[in-house]
Amino acid sequence: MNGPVVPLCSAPNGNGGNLAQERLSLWLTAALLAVVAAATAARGARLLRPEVPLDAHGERAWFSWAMRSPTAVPLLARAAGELRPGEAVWISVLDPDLDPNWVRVMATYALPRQCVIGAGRAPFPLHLSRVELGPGAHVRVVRRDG
Amino acid sequence: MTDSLDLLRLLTGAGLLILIGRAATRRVGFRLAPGELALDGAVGLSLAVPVAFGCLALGVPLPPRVIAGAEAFSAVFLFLALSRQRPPAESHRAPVSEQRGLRSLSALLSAAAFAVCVWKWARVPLWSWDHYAIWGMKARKLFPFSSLDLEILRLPALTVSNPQYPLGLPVAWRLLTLGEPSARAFRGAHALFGLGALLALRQGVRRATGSDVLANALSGVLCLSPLFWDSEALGLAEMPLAFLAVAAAALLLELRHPPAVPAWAAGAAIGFVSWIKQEGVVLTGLLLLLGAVVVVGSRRSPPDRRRLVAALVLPAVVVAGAGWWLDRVLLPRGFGFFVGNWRERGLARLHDPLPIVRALARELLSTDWLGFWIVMSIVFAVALLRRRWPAVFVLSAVAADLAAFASVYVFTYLDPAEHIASSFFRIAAATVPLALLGSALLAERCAPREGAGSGGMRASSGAPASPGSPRSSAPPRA
Repeated sequence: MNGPVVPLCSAPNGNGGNLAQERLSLWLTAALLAVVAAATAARGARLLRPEVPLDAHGERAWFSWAMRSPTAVPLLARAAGELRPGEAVWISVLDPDLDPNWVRVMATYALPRQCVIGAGRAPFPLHLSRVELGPGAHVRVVRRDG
Repeated sequence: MTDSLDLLRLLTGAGLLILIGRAATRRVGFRLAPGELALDGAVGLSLAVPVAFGCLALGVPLPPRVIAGAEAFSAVFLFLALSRQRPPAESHRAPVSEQRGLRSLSALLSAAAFAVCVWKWARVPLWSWDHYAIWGMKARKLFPFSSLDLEILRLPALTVSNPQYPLGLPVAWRLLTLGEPSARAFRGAHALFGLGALLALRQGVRRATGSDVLANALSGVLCLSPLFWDSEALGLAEMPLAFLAVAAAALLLELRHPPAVPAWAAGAAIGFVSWIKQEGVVLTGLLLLLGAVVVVGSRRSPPDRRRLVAALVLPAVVVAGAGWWLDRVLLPRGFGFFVGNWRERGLARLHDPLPIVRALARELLSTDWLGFWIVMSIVFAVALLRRRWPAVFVLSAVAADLAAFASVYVFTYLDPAEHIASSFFRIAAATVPLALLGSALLAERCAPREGAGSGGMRASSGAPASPGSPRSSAPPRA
């Protein structure tokens, strides 16, 4: 035997009210579809450009930080070829325009197979392999054994 | 060649998880309704990930072939074990009368909106830091030789990776990609989770309203939201969390009379939400509450309701509890936002809460949302005024989830403004599909059923109302 019906929703208020609701629902759905069509077309058109549009909320914050010195990361990646996988590395930041904290984070992207110990203005006191980032897009690997 | 291999592994992994879910939900026949497949995938993940994590924690290695074989075996085993049970009713809601052209156009628009997002995800040049140092790092580094090695999380240098975070997502990625995910596979998995969220939302809306056009329109809106368009979420836990939360809510709608899925499968999916992210714990609690409301408010006898609530709550508590216990036993503590004297901090901030409220409002009113939260507030007010309780309950759950995280900013050891700026937007984005599903419930009885005329609207259960049944506007007994 079924228990009492617990109502979760109300019955429509007659056919007139229902018809108005249907019409409103139809207009709202049509408006939603129009918004989806317009926004999708606009976004699709922007994606046709060679540069990906990276201006959404999180992208604005992250990419403007991560790409603030576009040449430094490829320079570090170039140095990766001279380092062994798993090798401990210190990044010497000799370019005064570069922030060592930023270099420390981005070096982990550029040297994924190495162990980046840290980054700073001065050479690390221990005898580690160093990647020197100098002014004018200069990069040099100083080996721990040489 | 590698591209197609990655894709093949991803599709095989997803297909096997869907098979497990399909066997568990005991769907009728072999129809390949996309929305049902998404819900099956969510159930498959909810069952397979805890089992896989349990095996890994016990020291059992899980190389790709073993994963694939075990998943196929589990699907067959579940199918045979549950074959004596009566299959649930077909997931069906009488369709509303809509022009075929409009249906096709709306489906095309929704597909185009999703395709644009996938196109962007494929072109994003760099992983966000949270993927690189937290989520992706764990999926790559914690499973040497296909076994689980959590020692790396104890390294002081990796405190930044938040070692206390749940590991459901890294394990889910490995099950989906059948091994160590490549950079391409991470993008593919993100697209699959996105597609899952879209299809689960679509299924929920169709189930509630019977309208394909509305379901497609809301799916399109989901693709416009920052959850999809903001590629910072690429490779993070927000998209999987959003998928599992909306799938769990859609499974709850499938439980309405006559149920189209077994309650225990919906319960397992609800419990698994807490495995993905710490925010998922709150969502699990709120979804359980919603589930209880759905069951209590259904046209069932009291013993039936009690049985159904137990069948829903027990698996949810077991799955969520197992995740909590395993994390507590296996993972290093790390330090949460409540480190230090949080009471004193909180009381000091509560003396002048305006800066926090302002910062939260700034995030929710950002132009990136295209007015989403303003519209949701209006929908909530209308639902409340018109006493559309299902919509009120779901939207209240979304509001409660946001409020729970707003309260964290009161006690956090970080500067609240910076903490809000770095996380609240993403947390809010993960609730978008759930909010859209809630808003669709407002339209639940507006659409005319085919063959029923405009006066033939049925109530939320989707079943014919018994003659004289008081479908009044009174709230349900909870």
